[in-house]
Amino acid sequence: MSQDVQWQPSGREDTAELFEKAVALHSKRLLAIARAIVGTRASPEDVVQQAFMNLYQHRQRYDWREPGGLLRRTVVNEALRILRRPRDSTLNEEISGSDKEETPIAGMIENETVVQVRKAIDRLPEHFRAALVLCEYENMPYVQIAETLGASVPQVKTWIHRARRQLAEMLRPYAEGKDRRSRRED
Amino acid sequence: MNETDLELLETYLDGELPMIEAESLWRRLAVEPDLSAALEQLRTDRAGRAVVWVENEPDDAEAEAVIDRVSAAIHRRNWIEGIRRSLVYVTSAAACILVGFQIGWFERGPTAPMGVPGPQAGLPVAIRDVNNGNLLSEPVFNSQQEVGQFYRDVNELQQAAPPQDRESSQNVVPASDEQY
Repeated sequence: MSQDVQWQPSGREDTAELFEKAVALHSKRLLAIARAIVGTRASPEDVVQQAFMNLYQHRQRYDWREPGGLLRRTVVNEALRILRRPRDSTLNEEISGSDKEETPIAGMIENETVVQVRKAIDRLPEHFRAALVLCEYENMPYVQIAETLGASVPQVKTWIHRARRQLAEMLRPYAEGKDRRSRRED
Repeated sequence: MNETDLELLETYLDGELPMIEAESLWRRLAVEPDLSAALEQLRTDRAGRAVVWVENEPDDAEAEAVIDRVSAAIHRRNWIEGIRRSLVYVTSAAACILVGFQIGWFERGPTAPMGVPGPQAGLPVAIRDVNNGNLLSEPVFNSQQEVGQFYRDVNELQQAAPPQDRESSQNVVPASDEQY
């Protein structure tokens, strides 16, 4: 369940202090969102840092007492912006390469199903993935997702539905193979 | 299972189905086994994705690293902004001083050569031919503006003189140190 972490500002804190507190309280969750959206195509740490710096530049404009929605919207937009820019093949190889270095050990431990699901999610179009992440991970209502992504509610519903259909299609061969293996073992 | 029913079930699982439609769905689930099976499959798929979302969550060390990066970037930005602001102040002050000097120079007009006291308003000025010392004129200037205008006129005359005469005309300069 998504929770907007809040504190009670003392009233004497200036904008810079409130901003730094927002960074400290929300970074973990925002990093998870960025990681879910960009997958292996970009660095989620870079996404979160850039989002924070974009907000810092115009920090006087915003109310930092309840920054959860603002931060989430900014991180999602930054993640989508990075995914939409022309691909740097060198960068992608580096990110994939670092993944491969961990695989020999991680692959022995991690559930194969999780690996397959993650790969399928990575292959979704970015706005499908963003809508799905905000719906299932952040448990946001459709109206809030639409506001975050700058889309209409029917459009968000369509994106989420199509994302799930595409995932089901991509995972069907794996699921059928798994069924056959379990029947053979029985 | 058709797409409409699948979308209905997903909206229900997302908690977005209005109560009236949810009640209608419950009645259908009670009598349509295919619909129930589809709902269970959707729940299973959702649970599989939930594991991925949870695995995406960073640990405390990763979150701390991001916080440190952001703090460092903010401090770096503030430092650069401070330097930029100082440069703006310094160059603005220099520009103001320069403009002030320019305005003052244009207001005063050309003056007597450096080291030579200029003629004073209200006193007659002896203007002599440099070659032979003959007194050419003794004008009295009523103000420093008239003094400045006199020098401008002399300069214009000297510039307008034919080249062969320019040298001799430049010898006709006010003996500005002669005043009585």
